[in-house]
Amino acid sequence: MNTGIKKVYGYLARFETATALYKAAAKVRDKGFKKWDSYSSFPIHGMDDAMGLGRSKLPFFVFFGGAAGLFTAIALQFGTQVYLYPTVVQAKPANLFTIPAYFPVMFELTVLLSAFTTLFGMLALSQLPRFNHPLFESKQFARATDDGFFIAIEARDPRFNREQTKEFLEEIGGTDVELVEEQL
Amino acid sequence: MADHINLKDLPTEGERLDFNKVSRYAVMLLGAGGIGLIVSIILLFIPATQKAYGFSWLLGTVFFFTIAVGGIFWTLLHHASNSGWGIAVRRVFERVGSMIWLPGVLMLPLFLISPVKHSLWHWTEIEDNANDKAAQQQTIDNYQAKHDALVAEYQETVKEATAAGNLNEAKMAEAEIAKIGEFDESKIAGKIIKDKDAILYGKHGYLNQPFMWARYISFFVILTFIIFQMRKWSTTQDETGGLKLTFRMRRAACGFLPLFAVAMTFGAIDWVMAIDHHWFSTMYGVYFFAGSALSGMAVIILVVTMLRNLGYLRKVVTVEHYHIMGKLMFAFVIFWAYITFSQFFLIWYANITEETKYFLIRNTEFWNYASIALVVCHFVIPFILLLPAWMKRTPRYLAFMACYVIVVHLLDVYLMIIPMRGPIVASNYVIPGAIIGDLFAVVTVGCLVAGGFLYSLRKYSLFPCRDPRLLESVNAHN
Repeated sequence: MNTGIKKVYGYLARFETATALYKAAAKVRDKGFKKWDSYSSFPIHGMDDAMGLGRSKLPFFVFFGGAAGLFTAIALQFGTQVYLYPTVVQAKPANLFTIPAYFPVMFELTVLLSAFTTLFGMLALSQLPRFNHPLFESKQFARATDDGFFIAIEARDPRFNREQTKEFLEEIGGTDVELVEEQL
Repeated sequence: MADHINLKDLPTEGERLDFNKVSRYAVMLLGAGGIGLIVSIILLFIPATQKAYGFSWLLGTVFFFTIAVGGIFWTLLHHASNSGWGIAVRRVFERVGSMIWLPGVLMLPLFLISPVKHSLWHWTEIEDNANDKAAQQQTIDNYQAKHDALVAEYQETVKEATAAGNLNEAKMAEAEIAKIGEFDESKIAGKIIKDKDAILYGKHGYLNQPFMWARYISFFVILTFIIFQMRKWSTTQDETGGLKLTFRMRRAACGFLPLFAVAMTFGAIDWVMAIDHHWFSTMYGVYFFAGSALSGMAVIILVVTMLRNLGYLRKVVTVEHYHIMGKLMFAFVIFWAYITFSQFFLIWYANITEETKYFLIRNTEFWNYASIALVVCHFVIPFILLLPAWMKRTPRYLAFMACYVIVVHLLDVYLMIIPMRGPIVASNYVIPGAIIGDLFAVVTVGCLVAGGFLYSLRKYSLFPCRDPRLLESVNAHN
């Protein structure tokens, strides 16, 4: 539905090569912008540092995912086969020393829940899946999946300024600098 | 990439170790090792100590064998996987691996001194006894008596049947006598071992001493050849440069890896698993390998740290390399646990008599404490301590963990070998002073290997200075 109301998303600048994008990203980082992102059709080595991203929060969640899997397995096996209904299988005792028999399930559930946390945590942290993105308003942005390298600085960033940010993007080598407005 | 290193920043001729810095330690180590070696040889000849000390000496040599094998493995894997990051530390891999010949030579007395050989590998004693003239005559006489008794029985039948007029039965008995034939001494030869040890008789095609010698020599020749050849190509590249040798090493490493695997696996079976020739485990080779690769990487980390403390490799090896080496060590802590548990689990769960023997000794009474300690110290503690990334990125901390891993790996090898020294059900069985002998043997072999290692550092650059991809490694990032 087109309401006719538009909101400024930010500036989009195109760069010719991955190297140019890498160097420009380092300059944007040094300028102190926080709400911005770079786009390319393939992963660029060292881009995390150039963008000043720091370490992902994901491992923190994965640890708890894995621990949850481990304790689920322990609870399900020890709870049922040692405490609630002691079961003697193959002359193995129904106590703590049966633990080797439970290792495979403990291992599998740890891996399974870690993997789930990794996958869904990654999707959640990068706010995926989503139906649309304001940058799709830009015609040239389609090239991000082909041969275009882009940097977009959002208007939400406190340092954003209609004139200065445009000048800055041109200064660091961006071409086709474009003000992207999203439909509300 | 503000700290990007160019070729201009690196010394073109590489860095060579100023041997004066370490010569004092090298001489001290070799001196101490030499004295230890003389004492050890004496201990191996004295009848009162030779049986217990044979196990200690096997522990010492096998322990350093595993470390050197780890060095060879990482060298070959580095080339076969076309790894870029490892070029900066490749020379250390090669150096650690090329110490392989020394444990091989030091193992020699165990094979040469007969009582030691007999107490370590009991099957050799059975075989030697079977070759004994008196024992042979005894067995031959037994078989001949059996043969004669059987023939006499049939002749009796023939006689009785003929007397009763039962010609058909007499003919059948005569046919049986013809089938048994004359007594043939040469056919009994293989059966002597069958009488003594039926299980060994089944394995005799593999477990016999000429073949054991052939394997012992060829395995060490193969492993030494592999690593010396890799090192030769690598050091030739220091002078010639160019991609040709890089490609050649990559191709050769892929060919060497199967050879390496066979030599290492069957070496482990021959020297360690065959201590109890009745027992077998199909996972033994890979179990041995997991510990080897782990301790090899731990030693590599320590050597890199030592060289950096002496002022070398400062620009070439960065914290990124430590991170990668830490990750590999961490991976092999888990791999070791996985393999060890798999071996234990299948035997424990299936509970088949001929397989449980190994764990019957190690998981009861006195040795059980050591086995449980192994689970906690070799897996749980290093797993937790090596998990966070910052810990792998702190060289000092990682070097500490490498020392720790080497110590627990010693416990692992100890539990492979030493429990077999006692009687089968070892209820708190201790040979007085034997543990001192174990430590003494490990320290002696360690001094010799470490001293030899310091001497081997004199030659060649400490990193491959003209490898075409050196910069890729120096600027590695993960």
